[in-house]
Amino acid sequence: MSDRRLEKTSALLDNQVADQQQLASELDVLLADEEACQSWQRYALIGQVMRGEAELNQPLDISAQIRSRLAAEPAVKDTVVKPDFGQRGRPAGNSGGILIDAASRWLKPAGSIAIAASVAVVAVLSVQQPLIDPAGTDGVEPTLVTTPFGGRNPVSYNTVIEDNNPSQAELAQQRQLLQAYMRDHQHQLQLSLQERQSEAEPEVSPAAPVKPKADSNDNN
Amino acid sequence: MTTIKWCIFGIFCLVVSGNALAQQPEQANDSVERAENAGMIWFDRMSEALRRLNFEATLVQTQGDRIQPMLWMHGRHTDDLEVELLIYLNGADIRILRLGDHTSYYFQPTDNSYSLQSDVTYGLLPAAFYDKFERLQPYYQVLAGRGMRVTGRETQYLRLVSRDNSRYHYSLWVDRESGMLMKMQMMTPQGEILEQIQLTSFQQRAELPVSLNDLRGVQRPPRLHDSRPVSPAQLGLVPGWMPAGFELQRSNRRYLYETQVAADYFLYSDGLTDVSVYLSEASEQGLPPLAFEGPESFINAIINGHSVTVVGKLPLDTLRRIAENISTTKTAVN
Repeated sequence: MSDRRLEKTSALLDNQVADQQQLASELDVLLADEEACQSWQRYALIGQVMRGEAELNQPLDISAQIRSRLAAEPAVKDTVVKPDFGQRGRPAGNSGGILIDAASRWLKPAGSIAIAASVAVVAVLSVQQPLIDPAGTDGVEPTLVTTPFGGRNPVSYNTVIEDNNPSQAELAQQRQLLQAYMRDHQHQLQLSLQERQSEAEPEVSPAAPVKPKADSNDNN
Repeated sequence: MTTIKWCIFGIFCLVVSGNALAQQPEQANDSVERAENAGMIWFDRMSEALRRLNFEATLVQTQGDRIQPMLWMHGRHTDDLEVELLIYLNGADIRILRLGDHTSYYFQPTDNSYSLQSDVTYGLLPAAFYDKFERLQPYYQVLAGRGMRVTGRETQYLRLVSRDNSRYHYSLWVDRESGMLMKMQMMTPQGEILEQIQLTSFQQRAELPVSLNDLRGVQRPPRLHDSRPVSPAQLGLVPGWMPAGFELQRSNRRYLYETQVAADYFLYSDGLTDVSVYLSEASEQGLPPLAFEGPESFINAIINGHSVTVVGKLPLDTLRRIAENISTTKTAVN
């Protein structure tokens, strides 16, 4: 590409071509020439950098990289979630085939979207990493609400000394009670939601396979 | 001569700026009103989208340091039956399936699955997000703000706050094109984020997603109901203070779920947030005074020999005030 044409490209970019007709024809020439297009892109980038508009540290064109990455990705299908839903609670002989079919197909999306989901987790993890307290997690109180308490064995009672500090067993019991409150709250919310629904719309939606409401008087 | 000119110019400037200052509060009110109107329109668009769109999405829900990736699908059959499916991808296999107003919760490997009669899928979003904003308007405000790019889409930002600042706030990012909720944050009035939902992929479909097609045939677990006997509350005590808008939904006396602790129970709701109040004999319950703030806050206080326990998605200050204002039946709220 000649220096003169480079100069033209640069002039075009900086809006330095005064004559409208000349501008149009120069643009046509430019767009027809791939090499010129590339230099146009470079000039535009240089302009952006000089004006401080360009995003630094960004690969300029990641489409090619993504394409090659995707091609290299192994085709993962149904390997993440093992379908076992169909086997449980299957009524013996009673339209079992349809149920299993439906149930196993139900699992399919979990397999095919699992990659996207795992990528998402990694993204969130890496953001959260710096926030983790290096002092350890022993003292983090709120986790006691969300984690199950199976690991804690009650300590024998003869070690208990009369003081203000509760024993391990008492603590375990208190945590259990705490959990019970949390669960009870959830339970009541759901019952209340159900109650509100049956008050609000007594008619059953046409296609929903809802049992006849024999048990609706249980809610009180 | 020039100095006089400048003086006149200065006075002129003062007058103009004074006028501008006087107008400012009015303009601020105006813009709040505009933001509120736009906010309500966008909120209603979102609730409509949650009911009508055919979509397949993946999302991540975080609560503190806990992360739960989920699969979320929704659509409508040609006969208008609504289908919604949520699958937890980490830990225990939990699935929530809703067909119309029949919602089922499947738990694996423990087999305590159950169904609810509910036309909203309780478990991911507050039930109120599926309805118009109108019902929340007396106690909440939704303001439209500047959106940003979320999950590769241009979104509209909505800020949902309680009018008396006594409840958690929500930040919502709603897709400008479809009205779909793309991101949500729940935070304390001080701005600490307690829970987040972030969609990581979202595909809108013209028809019901294929994988939802056959779910009509799936077996449904039994319906949830109160299995233990209940009687009317008998301690003669009731919550004497609640934030504006909270109404009594349930009240009874029974044993706490899976325990031998008897309690007078009260459930209040303002349409978006729910709060439970438990009253028992302190000697019978045996929990020390304790409190914590989180996605579900908790307080246990001992007042006049009674344990007062309050649980709900509310700031701790609000729970404390509820617990400290238990009164005799005469001055009951509602």
